[in-house]
Amino acid sequence: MSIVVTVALVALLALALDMLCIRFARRKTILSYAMVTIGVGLIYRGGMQIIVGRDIYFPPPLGVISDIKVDNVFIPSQYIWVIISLLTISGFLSYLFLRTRLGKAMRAVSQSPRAAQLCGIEPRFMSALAFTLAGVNASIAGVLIAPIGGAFYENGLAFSLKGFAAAILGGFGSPIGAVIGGLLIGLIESLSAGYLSSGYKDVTSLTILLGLLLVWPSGLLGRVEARRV
Amino acid sequence: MTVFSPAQGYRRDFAGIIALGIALVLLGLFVSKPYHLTLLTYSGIYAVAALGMFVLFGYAGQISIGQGAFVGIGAYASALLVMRVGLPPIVALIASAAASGLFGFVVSRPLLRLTTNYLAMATLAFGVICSVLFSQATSITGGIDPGIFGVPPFEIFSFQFVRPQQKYWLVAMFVGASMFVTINLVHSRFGRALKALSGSEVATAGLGVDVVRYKVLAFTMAASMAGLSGSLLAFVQSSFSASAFTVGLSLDILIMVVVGSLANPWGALFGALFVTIVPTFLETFELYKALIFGVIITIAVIFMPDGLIRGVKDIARNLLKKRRQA
Repeated sequence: MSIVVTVALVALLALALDMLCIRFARRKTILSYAMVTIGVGLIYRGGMQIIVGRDIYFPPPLGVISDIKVDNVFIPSQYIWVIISLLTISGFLSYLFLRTRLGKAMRAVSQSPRAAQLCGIEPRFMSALAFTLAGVNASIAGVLIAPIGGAFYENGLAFSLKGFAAAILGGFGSPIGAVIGGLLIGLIESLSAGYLSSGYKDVTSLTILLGLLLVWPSGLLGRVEARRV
Repeated sequence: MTVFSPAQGYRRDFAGIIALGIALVLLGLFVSKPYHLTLLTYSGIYAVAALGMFVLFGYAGQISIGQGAFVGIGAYASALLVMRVGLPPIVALIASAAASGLFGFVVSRPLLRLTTNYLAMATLAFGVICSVLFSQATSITGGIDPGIFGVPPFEIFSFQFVRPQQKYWLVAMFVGASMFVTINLVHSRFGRALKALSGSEVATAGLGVDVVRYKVLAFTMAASMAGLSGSLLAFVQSSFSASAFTVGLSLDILIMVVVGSLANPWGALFGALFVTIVPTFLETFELYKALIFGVIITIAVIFMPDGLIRGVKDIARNLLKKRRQA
């Protein structure tokens, strides 16, 4: 129950970001939208800091599923939840974007809002929907990670940067690519923390992000999105 | 609306520099409380970094959320050059601004191939990487705790800047000089090229401007001014740690420019004062800082894309117009 409320609340916050802030931006450029998200991100983080304080919380694991132990391999139930959610969500998103009219409409708006509008698609509705979906996904990720890594008001920045890195690695416009990208980034990060030094963990994944942006902006499974100058 | 010819604009800004010089001298002479002087000193230090950011973001339209890294490089470079190599402070200051600029030059070539939100993300990642390196490379930087302490005061010809008043004059000199350089730059071929390429890179390239070179120059200049500001910070504060050069600092510098003005270098001064002084009004500001700055930056970007001064001016003008019509 608390999870449903959490996800709904975060979805609402994401919707507010779109409908109350981005929509009213005077200058309709991607850069100004990016600045608005940075500003609103600060507001949300600052708000969390005031509401819940600066402590790290460890909510209890979701439970229900029992831990798995085969020989020496031990998989806690929370990790199984992560895998199940990953499969469900990526399956759902792939279906949504590749098989339904709604997904097609969203992709159309992302390519050209004006042309999509001419075809009878409301770009503002699609944008609100996209933000809500992103909020739902992000909050599910938060729900899953909190019992493992703890909930802290400043966690967001690192996660959003790594999420961006994962999306680029996989190539935008491909949910499966994003999943593969995310898995790769997580794997490389954990390996580097183990073999190099855990203090430099964030450096590894962010260096990957930088390197990808510079060398291979289209990612593993995507088309070219970043314009070269 | 009055239209200024370029020459008129320069004359106006030049008069502004003289006014700024007079204001800085008057403040130095008549502000006697050390606390107020210290606030002004810190505003000045950040104003230098904000002016560099203004050239890069306000004029050339290239966002960077990694300026804090260059401030850090400037601060560490001058502290190490003075304390370990034993260079005189003035040489260390120039060298660290140059080193920061050189570093900016090196990273700018690949970074500036990106645009808009990709550039924002890449510079943000760059800033986070640098701040992690600052806090982890403890053998060089001292990390977060204890950091670097005991940086000797700045001195020119064996005159030492020790007391708050002396430190104020030191920073005031550099603020005046940075403003002078920025104004002259904005009103030059270089400034006009930057302004043009922020409008349309393709059109600017079509006019025969080497777009990449100008973008790289703007980034290098912003980096070296951030380095200069970091160097001043090291000499004024004499002890600092890696916790000073986080993404928070990069965001602060960005906010200074966004709140001040994207079209007018004087806004950077206002922004630096604003961001430094507003926190002192609230006792428990640390807790509310993120929220308040978030609200400010959001409102500024949404409703006043040309900065707070311009936004308030426009609102006032609209109100007057309405009253006249009524």
